[in-house]
Parts: sequence; C-alpha cells; structure tokens
Amino acid sequence: MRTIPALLILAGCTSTPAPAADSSALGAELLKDGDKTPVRASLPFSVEGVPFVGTTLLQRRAGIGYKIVLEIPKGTQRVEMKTCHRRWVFKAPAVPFVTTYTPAFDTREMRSACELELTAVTRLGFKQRAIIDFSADETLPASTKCDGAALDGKLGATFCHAAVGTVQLITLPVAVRAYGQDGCGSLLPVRGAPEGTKFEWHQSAGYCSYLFHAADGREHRLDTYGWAEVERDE
Amino acid sequence: MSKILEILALILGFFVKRGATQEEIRRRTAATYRELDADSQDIANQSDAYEELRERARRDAAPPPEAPQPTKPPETQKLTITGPATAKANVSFTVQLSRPVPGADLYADVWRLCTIPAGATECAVVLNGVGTRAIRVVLGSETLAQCTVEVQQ
Repeated sequence: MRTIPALLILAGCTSTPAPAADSSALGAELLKDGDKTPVRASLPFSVEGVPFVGTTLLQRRAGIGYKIVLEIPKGTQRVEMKTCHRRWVFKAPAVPFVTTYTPAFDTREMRSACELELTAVTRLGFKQRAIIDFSADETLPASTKCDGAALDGKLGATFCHAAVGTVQLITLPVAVRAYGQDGCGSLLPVRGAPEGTKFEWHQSAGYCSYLFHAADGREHRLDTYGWAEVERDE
Repeated sequence: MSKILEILALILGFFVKRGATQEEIRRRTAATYRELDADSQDIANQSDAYEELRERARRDAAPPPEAPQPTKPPETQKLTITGPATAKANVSFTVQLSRPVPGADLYADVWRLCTIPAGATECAVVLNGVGTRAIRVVLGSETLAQCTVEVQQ
C-alpha cells in the first residue's frame, strides 16, 4: 500500500505542460458545450487613439483604414475579427493587440449593416468581445435611449448594446415607417407621441437590425446587440 | 513516514487538480471555438435581413402604378349651320355646315329631309310649306345645329 502513491508519482498524472493555474478561476466554472449565449461586449479598445469600452459606432470612410488597439488580457490565445463579409484569426496575439481595419471596397462592409466584431479567447478559454458598428448612407438622425445612455444618432445610424429583454427607446424627428428584422423584438409605438416618431422595443439576443423610413426618402438604421451573459474575467 | 506520505499525497493532489483544470480549460477553449464557428453567420444574416428591410421600404414608398384612364372621345367642334334668311317655296336653296358630320340627317322642323352625304359641308334644301321653318342637323336624336328660314310663296 505504501508503494502505490510512489508509483503514481513516478507514472505522472499530468496531461500536458501548462502555465500555473490562476486560483480565482479554479474549479468554479461549469463548461457549457455548444452554448451560444451572447456575451456582453466589454473589451476596452481605441480607434485612432480615441478610447471606447465594449462598443461604438463610427462614420464609415471609403478606402481609409481604422487603426484599432484592443486591450486584450495577457495570455490571450486568439483574437478573431469578423464582419458580414469575412472572418480572420490571429493566434498568440501581442498585448495590446494592434490592427488596421479597412472596409473592403464595393462590399457590404462599405454600404450596409455590417459590424466589425473583435473577440479575444482568453487564457482560460473565455470569450471577451468588442463590437464596432459603422454608419452607411442613411441620413435621417434619431435619438436613442439605450442601456441608460443617450445616443444621438446624427450619423443616420445607431448601435444599441443592452441586456436581453430590456426595453429601449428611439425617437425620430419626423413620422416614419418602421421595419424590423424577423425574429427580433417588435417596434412598439409609444402612446402620446406624434404618430410614427417614437418606438420602444425589447432587446433581442444577438444581432438585430431595424429600419426607419421617412416620406422624404431619408432613412435611419438601428442595429442592436442583446447580451445574456456577463463576460468572464480572468 | 506518514508525514512524508501526507506530503506526497498533497503533491500528487496538486498535479491531479492541475491536470483536471487544464482539461477544463482545453474543453472550454474547444467549446468557445465551436461557438465562434457557429456564430460566424450571425452578422451576415443580420446584413441580409437589413437589405430586405430596405427593399420593403422602397417598395412601400414607390407610388402605385397609375390606373388606366378611360379614353375620352375627342371633343367635337361645335357645329354651325348657315343659310339664307328667306327662301321661295319649292325653290332650292343651300345651307352650309361648319364641318362635315358623318351620318347626320337634315330636318325641316320635324320632317326629315335627307341624310347629309359623308364629307359634305353644303346641302341643297327644297321646302314647299310657307312660313318660318327650322332647318336642323340631327345626329341620332340630338340636334347639333339649326337655323331658321322664312319660306315665302
């Protein structure tokens, strides 16, 4: 009996070499294989030196790149970038992660709802995320109350990042026809407001798009991302 | 001896736990990569949906096609008939029309005199009754024009 522990030690019970484990993450998390719960975007980043946390909306510029610095945690295994048009991966990225994103000419990256999503897979295998949305050729401004913040929407587009199920609000300066993506929270006219100018919606999980069309042809685009899970920390 | 075994057990336990943790991390990472693969369509699907919304908005905003208008018949120029103020009974006189009136008849009061020849703008009239007579151009049941002639003996 006394020799058994010695034999086990000699045989070795470790599988692969690994860095020292962080005690704050040990044993507490359950794996969720196949879980597609959208995670809150919270990664700090900067674009052309201007800092943001989690999400932002920028004016789209033809043929000009955006220098992005992503404040990923040390030991990040991978950074993945994704748009509606492409997906590319950086393994063992440097910290901070620096890249230049240039919307691809003559694709939807230039002219449609097409966010840039940056996801870091941390040392412990968790996702941390940042999302950058871009204005396109919409010209109708709007005011949005989203997750406690007032978004001015003067670029003709708005990006609202909030928890799934919460109620958000958008106001237009003129009466509009409102259209929503199938499967996303319906736009509900607000009572008491001039008809067709104010709408509420329940934030849906993941990405959704809405369009507001005025009689003079101007449009406003509302993109939303509903998160159901807070990001995991190291 | 038992102390040594205790220490050895602790060391063994550390490695076993570390191995399990590494296995958790490996599985979690694999699951995260699978999620990222599965999510790869999300933004593209949203973009597709947005393009459809724009198309719907444009269709709704387009003016409806104009309903075909019924063809209006060309307005007919007003017809006038001119002739002499007086005429002798049983003596032919001529009346002029301002334009041809295909299919029209010539009347004296309520009596039909003749059908105006196609393309004609003049008509010869002979009346035998004495008195004031109304010379009328009639199409169907409608009097298009008339003039009066005093018929004398």
